[in-house]
Amino acid sequence: MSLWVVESLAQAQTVAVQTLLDRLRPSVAVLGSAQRPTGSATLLDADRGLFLAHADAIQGDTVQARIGSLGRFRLKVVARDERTNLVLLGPGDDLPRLTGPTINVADASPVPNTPIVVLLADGGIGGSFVGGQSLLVQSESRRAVPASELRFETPLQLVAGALVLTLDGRLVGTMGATIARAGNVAPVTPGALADVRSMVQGQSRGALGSPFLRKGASYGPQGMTVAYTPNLTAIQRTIAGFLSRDHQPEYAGLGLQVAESPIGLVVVRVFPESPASRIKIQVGDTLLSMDGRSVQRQYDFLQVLLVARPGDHMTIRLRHEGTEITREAVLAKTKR
Amino acid sequence: MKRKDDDLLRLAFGELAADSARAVEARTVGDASAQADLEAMRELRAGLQRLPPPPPDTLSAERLRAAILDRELRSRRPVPFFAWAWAPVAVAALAAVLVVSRPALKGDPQVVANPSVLAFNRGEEAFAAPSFDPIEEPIVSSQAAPSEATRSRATVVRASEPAAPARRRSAPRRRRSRAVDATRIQVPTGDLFAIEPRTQNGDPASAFTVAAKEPDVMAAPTSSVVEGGPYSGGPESVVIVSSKRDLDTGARAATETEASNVFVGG
Repeated sequence: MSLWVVESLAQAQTVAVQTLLDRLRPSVAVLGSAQRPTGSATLLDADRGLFLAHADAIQGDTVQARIGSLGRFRLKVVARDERTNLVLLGPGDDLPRLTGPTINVADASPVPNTPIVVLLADGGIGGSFVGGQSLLVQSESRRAVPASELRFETPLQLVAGALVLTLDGRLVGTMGATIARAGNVAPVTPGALADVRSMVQGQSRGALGSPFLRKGASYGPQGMTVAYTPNLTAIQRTIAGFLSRDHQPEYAGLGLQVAESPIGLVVVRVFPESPASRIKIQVGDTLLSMDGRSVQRQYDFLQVLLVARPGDHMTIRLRHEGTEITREAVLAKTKR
Repeated sequence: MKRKDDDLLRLAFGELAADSARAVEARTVGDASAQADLEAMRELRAGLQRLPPPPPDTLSAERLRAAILDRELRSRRPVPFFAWAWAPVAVAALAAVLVVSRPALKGDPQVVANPSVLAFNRGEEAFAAPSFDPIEEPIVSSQAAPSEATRSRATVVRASEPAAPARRRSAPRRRRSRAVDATRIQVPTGDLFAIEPRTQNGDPASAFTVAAKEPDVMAAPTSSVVEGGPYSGGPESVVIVSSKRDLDTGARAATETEASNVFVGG
């Protein structure tokens, strides 16, 4: 597993990243063919042969994998989560005995500017965890999830679908999309772009030397790339579901749509026969709190639902036609 | 507006205290013009009260705006007198609404949302463009060779810059319409959200028993992106992740928009 060093990454951090990659080597499977690796999967449960990967690293229901000295084997898709775009991979017929440590999921979201490592195909790259409270909306599934921001001083706009770890090896994110903000983009020559593409495909190792990115002098701090990951709560929830008996994450829902506004979260749609409709929540009502937690923004709304479980009784305080009222809803289980 | 007209408007809408109301009514005695105006204003108020409420489960940016407006107005107590300077404008606008709405009132109750405000399609175009026109461009800078630039599929949306020539279907423009064309309201329909009692091994007979023990199962409420949010502002960004991948890297294009442009389901 190689390390691509960004220009501004401190030497100490560089060593830490390399150390982490070495430690993870027996637990990280490179997905895709030797000629065309597509991403990485980390070991989630050695006994059951379960791996975790980002959906963008997998095309189809099975994928070739390789772990260092263990050689090649096949993994098959066991479950997908449409909110986080995480995929649970299970063993095929030729799974070798897995001896590496399983991935640890962080208990708490990192503080801003925490150094992180993004696991690419057969390698990793450094960056920083920014945090924040954004939303990721998957246009395919129309699912929304609270998100945190990541930054890289590399032109990684061509990359999505990677797992994100802290330097001590704890999973804190999964890079779902990358965006370089307008006005904050460094020139990238056509040649450099092609090199990056090769790097992403895993073809650059050796050919371009190491550290690769130091050769690409055309990007650096001015070329900050912004990426987003589903927040840690969503990832924890998904992985807990993956490790359950049926491997399916469960989400609780009220059955409504909300919009942010200067007065708070306003209900813009109530689905028929939903928990929200049963307790007479109406379009135009303003949500004030859910289970005692103030919900001023969509992030808050989704975060409260992420923590809740289907069947939970949830106390909802809302403003209806100028009057504050309290209702209690029984959350439903959402399905695809 | 003259003070006399203002008093008549307040009287017609029941905004005056009893003493003031009697005084204003006394002043209209013998003034045919004032009495006619008062009668017209009372008819206007009665007409407004006859307007049917919108269906409660209708996705409506208009109602959202109304709620915001209502809340903001409520917070400004007491209402300063000069606020009534807008009354003639409001009356004229309301009168126009009444006139325009009258044909619809004779038929079935209509959705009051402007249908062109909302758009919701399936697939890649599931998210209508925000109020500003998106500029689809690569992440790479303008110095990059165009042929390479087009290889990057990430998209940057700049709210403050003029619209580039449309490279994809442009969002429907707002237009005035008397009758609401229901076919233009492309909101998620019932098939996206069907409550189904949980069944055990597909056995309908056990559905009620299981439902009593288990939480309801429902299709996950989806999210929508509207053409122009109910207001502009809010520091939080929303990242819309495309459903299409770059064939070489697996990367997905993404655009940023304001939280106010997104209706989140949950």
